[in-house]
Amino acid sequence: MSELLFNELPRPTFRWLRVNHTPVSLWGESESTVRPEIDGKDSIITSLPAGAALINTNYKGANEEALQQLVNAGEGYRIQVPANTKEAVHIRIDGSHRVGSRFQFIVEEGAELEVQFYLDGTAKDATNIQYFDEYDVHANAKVVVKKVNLLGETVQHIEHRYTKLSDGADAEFINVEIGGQENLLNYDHDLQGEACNIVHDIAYLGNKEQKFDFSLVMTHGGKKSVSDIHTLGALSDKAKKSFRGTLDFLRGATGSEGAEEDTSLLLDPTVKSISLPLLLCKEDNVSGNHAASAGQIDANKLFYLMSRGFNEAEAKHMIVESMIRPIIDRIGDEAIEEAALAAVRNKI
Amino acid sequence: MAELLQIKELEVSVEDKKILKGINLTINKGEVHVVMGTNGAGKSTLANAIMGNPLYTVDNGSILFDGEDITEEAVNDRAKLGIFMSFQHPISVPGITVENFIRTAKSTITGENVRALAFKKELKEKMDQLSFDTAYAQRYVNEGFSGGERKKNEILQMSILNPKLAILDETDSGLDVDAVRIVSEGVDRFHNEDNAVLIITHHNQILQKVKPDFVHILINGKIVKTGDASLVREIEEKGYDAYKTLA
Repeated sequence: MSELLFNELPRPTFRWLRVNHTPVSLWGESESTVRPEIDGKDSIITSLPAGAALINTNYKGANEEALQQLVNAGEGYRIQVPANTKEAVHIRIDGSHRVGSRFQFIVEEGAELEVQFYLDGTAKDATNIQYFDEYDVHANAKVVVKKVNLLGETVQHIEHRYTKLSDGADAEFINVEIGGQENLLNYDHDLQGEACNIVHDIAYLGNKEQKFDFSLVMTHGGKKSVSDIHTLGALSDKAKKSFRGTLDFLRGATGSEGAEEDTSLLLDPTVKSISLPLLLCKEDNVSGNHAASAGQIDANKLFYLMSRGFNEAEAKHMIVESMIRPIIDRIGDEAIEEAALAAVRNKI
Repeated sequence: MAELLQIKELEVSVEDKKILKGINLTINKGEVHVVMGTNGAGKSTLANAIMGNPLYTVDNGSILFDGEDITEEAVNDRAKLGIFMSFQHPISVPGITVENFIRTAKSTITGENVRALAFKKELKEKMDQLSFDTAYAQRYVNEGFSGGERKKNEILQMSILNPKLAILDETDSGLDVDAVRIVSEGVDRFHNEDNAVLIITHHNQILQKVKPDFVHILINGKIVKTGDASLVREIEEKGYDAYKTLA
């Protein structure tokens, strides 16, 4: 496959800025794909046939062509949580093989679902891990998705995620993105219901020539819907991060609130950090806030830590770890948290 | 009395602006020194210069600690030698609990493994003494703490790290009367004949329990007057006007 354009900005800006999209060639296409392991109650997990309809047929993913190929390629999983029940699903994705898969989650009224994605392993040669997870969160239902990416350096990692929230639905998404060589992550959240609420927090840590390309879109359709995006992380060596965050208030989304914040700690002058917060609005009575900050380690913080006996390197490690750890601490699985922390300490 | 800190003709700049213009100060073990002065006189600069903040440039003079010239020493090496600074605005360190932070700092400073059980016991004891809710031990350092809690956390660290010289940079600022009393008692408990305390303050409340041996008036980067505790009362009553012309 030739170069494709990933994570296109919903409203392009000047072309000469070269930030409207990310051109990417897919890796390891000659390999056959493997379905990942899934662990959860049998009665809620069924097979999703190749080509099954999307929850939102207009969703284009990180790249429309790549998503369509993924959808048509093979079977995926359908996870349906009955109304007013509580379930948990664990998904392990092994980066030592090419992976292509799809997960469709239906969380019925008043139900609660926790999903944990754990991605690790590395292939001998360049490979591609690509999956599509979509969530239909019915009225007053709740979904919590915790993802930890500790993939190896040979992995190109692509995620397409779509979420539809009905009245009073609640979604909490946590990403810890540490691994993978080229990470292209597309999150499209549709706040259709009244008084629905979504939080998406992403922590990342990049070094060497790692790339993190984030696209997050919060589309507010429902009245009094609330969204909050926060990405934060650190980059060293020649690592690169792009953040495209869009808050889109549609007509009728009165009383809605959206916030987005992107915070980057730049540990070397050779890193690259792009931040594109975008506000789109067709409704008067809404509140949209955005903030982006990129900077070096705060000298006062460094001085404070060194005054407690830590040398400069230890103090810098501590600052980076302290930035990411509050998000890691929310994973709630001790073994995975330890693995993530070990990966953080190895990188800084 | 054994000499602990000796500052000779110290001149310090911040971003090319000279703040300290020739400070001479000797602190012996067992002594409590107080530095008072007008806003912008250089009090915090003096504290930062002793601790070795790289944002402050020493243009001239020297700082000797325990007989060793530390003028060029890194901040962490000064901490290991036994200098502690309580910050005017302590920073937050999200992701690291108070307990882990102080335990790791103690291990780093002493170079010894700090046993978890013994440390927990010591931490609880010191927190109780400071009327500091022990639940804060498991909270991230200064994250979401009030101003008073941050200052108590500084005094907690001082009492556990047990430095030879504690510099308190306006530790009493922004505290209510009860919090100042607790901090003052904490400093009094810490102080003994083997260590020394340098208190930078605007007020006399922190001196409720701590009796200063020397009080220095710092105006425009110079110590213009040194006296005993009565100088604090004089400043409280009359202000700095009489000393402004001496700088």
